[in-house]
Amino acid sequence: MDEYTSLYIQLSVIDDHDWLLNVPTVEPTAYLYGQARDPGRWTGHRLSIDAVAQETIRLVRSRWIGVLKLSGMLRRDRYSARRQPPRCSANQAGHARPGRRYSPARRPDQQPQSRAAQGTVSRPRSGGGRPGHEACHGRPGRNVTRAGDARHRRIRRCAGRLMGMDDDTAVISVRNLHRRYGAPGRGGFDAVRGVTFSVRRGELFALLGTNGAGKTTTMELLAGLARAAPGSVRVFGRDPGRERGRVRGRMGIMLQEGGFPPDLTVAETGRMWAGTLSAPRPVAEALELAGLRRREGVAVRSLSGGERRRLDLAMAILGRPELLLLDEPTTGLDPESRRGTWLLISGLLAAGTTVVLTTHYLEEAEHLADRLAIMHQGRIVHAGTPAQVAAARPARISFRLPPGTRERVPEITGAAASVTGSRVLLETQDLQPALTALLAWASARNLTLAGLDARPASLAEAFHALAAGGHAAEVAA
Amino acid sequence: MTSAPATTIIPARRRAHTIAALARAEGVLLRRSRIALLTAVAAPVLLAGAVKALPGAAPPARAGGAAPGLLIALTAFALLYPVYHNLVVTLAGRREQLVLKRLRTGEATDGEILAGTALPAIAVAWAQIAVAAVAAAAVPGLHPGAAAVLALAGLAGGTAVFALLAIVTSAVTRSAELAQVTTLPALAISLAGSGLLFPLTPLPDAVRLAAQALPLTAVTSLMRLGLTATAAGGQHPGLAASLGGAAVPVLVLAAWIAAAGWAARRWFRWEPRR
Repeated sequence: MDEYTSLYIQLSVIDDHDWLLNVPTVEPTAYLYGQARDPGRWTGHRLSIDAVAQETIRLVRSRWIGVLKLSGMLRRDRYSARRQPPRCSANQAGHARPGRRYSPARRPDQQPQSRAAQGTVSRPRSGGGRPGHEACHGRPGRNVTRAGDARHRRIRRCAGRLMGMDDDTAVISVRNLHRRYGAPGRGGFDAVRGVTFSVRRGELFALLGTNGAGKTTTMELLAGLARAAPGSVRVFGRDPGRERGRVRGRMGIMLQEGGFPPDLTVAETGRMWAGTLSAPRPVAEALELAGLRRREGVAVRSLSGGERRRLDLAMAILGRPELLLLDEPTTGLDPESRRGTWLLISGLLAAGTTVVLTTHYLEEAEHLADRLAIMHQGRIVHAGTPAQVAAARPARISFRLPPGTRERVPEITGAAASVTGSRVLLETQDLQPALTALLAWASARNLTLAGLDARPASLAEAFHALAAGGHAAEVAA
Repeated sequence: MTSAPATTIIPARRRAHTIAALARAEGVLLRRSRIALLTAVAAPVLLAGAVKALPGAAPPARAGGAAPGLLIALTAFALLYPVYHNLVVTLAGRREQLVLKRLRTGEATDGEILAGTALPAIAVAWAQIAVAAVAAAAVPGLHPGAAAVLALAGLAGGTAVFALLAIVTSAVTRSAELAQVTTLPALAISLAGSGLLFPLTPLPDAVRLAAQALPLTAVTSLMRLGLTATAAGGQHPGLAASLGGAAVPVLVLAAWIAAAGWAARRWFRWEPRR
């Protein structure tokens, strides 16, 4: 039996470079919450940043501390043993204010005594349950429920606020964006036709859409590689095309297609890219984060498609960007690597990085995004939080009436019924009362509803409906 | 080819660091590409040797025998092959591989990207010329003296012109393979007008004047003035006269640099057409 033990890690910023969570160097300490099989490795030492980073990465790899957990790991407050979802109360935020408890000016050795510093890092598991285990262990794909997502976002926002990064200023603001390829008139093609949205600091904004919806073009406009005509793009309040030199140092960009010389090795590519950056993290660290450390000596042309994507991601985060633009970061990745990428992105978000990503994977957007926009034919057809977008569609109940029955489809308030052959489809905004009424009706008549299926509104459904229907009403995010 | 706005001040050291990082990577790529390496290293030597061995080639300068002529021919081919041709191939290839586009997503400015890409090819060319110059210096009869500065000016100006022309040519070169075709006009015209393959003196005045307006001709004139203090006609002017004789080729090179620089800004593409 494995013993799982919760522990606190005091992370002292000894080195001037950060690690996985991008701990700002002004913060002398941060606490890590994690789980380990052998806490002995973590306790009783003052670990260097590298050691903690290595250990965390190893742990994360081997045990899949979920996406949820990782975001919650960075805490400046002592973590409660009862693992309640942390709330971002004003009180908590107050704690984090510089000068109250953890003054940025204070050096690590002047820290108030903490469990970690006292060496009582490991704590016995309480009662019969494994505290917090259900959220931490296991495969992230399973434990990520919608409630979990909400909590994940809350934790993240908490982390952001604690770190003084959560303000609502727009990192990106895009107004009435247009982009046309080719000749004016009939010969050309309008890839983007009037897109307006903004992205706030510290959030993840996802652009969804079918192929050719204009996502990549929008990303290129955000990156300043192309000019909008007409329309305006502001990144950190500046024009990313005209004032490239002023914004590039703060941005990390991953294009849809790699763009690294095929004959260079992974390590050489990293060295080259780092050489062009003003404040790169160590190349080995970035490669490690992207899971490419073992492939350092391999030529880019020999990498698999997924590995190339990860190399691209590694290069995008090499400069410790405040803003990350990721164009389909997980396309072509196997499920394991995809989760690795999600984890990495979550870690960056927890540290306050703002992320804009495009994706074809709805679960990716549902999982990671604070807000999203669905694009179709160059326009945003719907925007909002994943829940809001999903709620734009009704919940659905479908079943078949028994053959030969004389019963007619029941009238249920708030539900619209449609019948195709024997198949009945009820659409409603309120799933539970509608379903209750339906089941009561069936029970009273002793009917068996074959193929009964009830599902809440989902992002996937909203996406398919919006993309297929082409609700071309422009929505400003 | 818009460079960073003037308001952004990049310290020279960082600029050099960026260019060095890009140049190092490009150098590794040059080493790994056999064809590129062959073009860069072998082509100038072989072609210069071949041209000088041609019957009816330009008469060797009287003083110093064949040495200055060889050096001049080598310089000309070094500018044409490692610098011009190779750079067109490289830029077209990098554009096709989306490397240029990717680099533009980083902090490097456009100028740094181009400089870093061009540097290894230029280094190869200059190294060859340097080796040849050292060898030529051993031959008695070369009287460069103070005028050697003209040869250096010719080399520097020629490098700038052909690097910029490569950038312009790569704008119309859709793939690395097509560079074989797109570089031909410039290569052929430059060589024909340079006086390396056949002397220019017997040609009609109009043709000779036109030839003198070519960048490679300007480079060879400056080299000839600098190395042997002998103008294209064969007479022996003094230093003052050779400086005076240098005015035209220097102006020609300056004009080409300006024109090619403008054209590069105007037409260079960072991404493949779609």
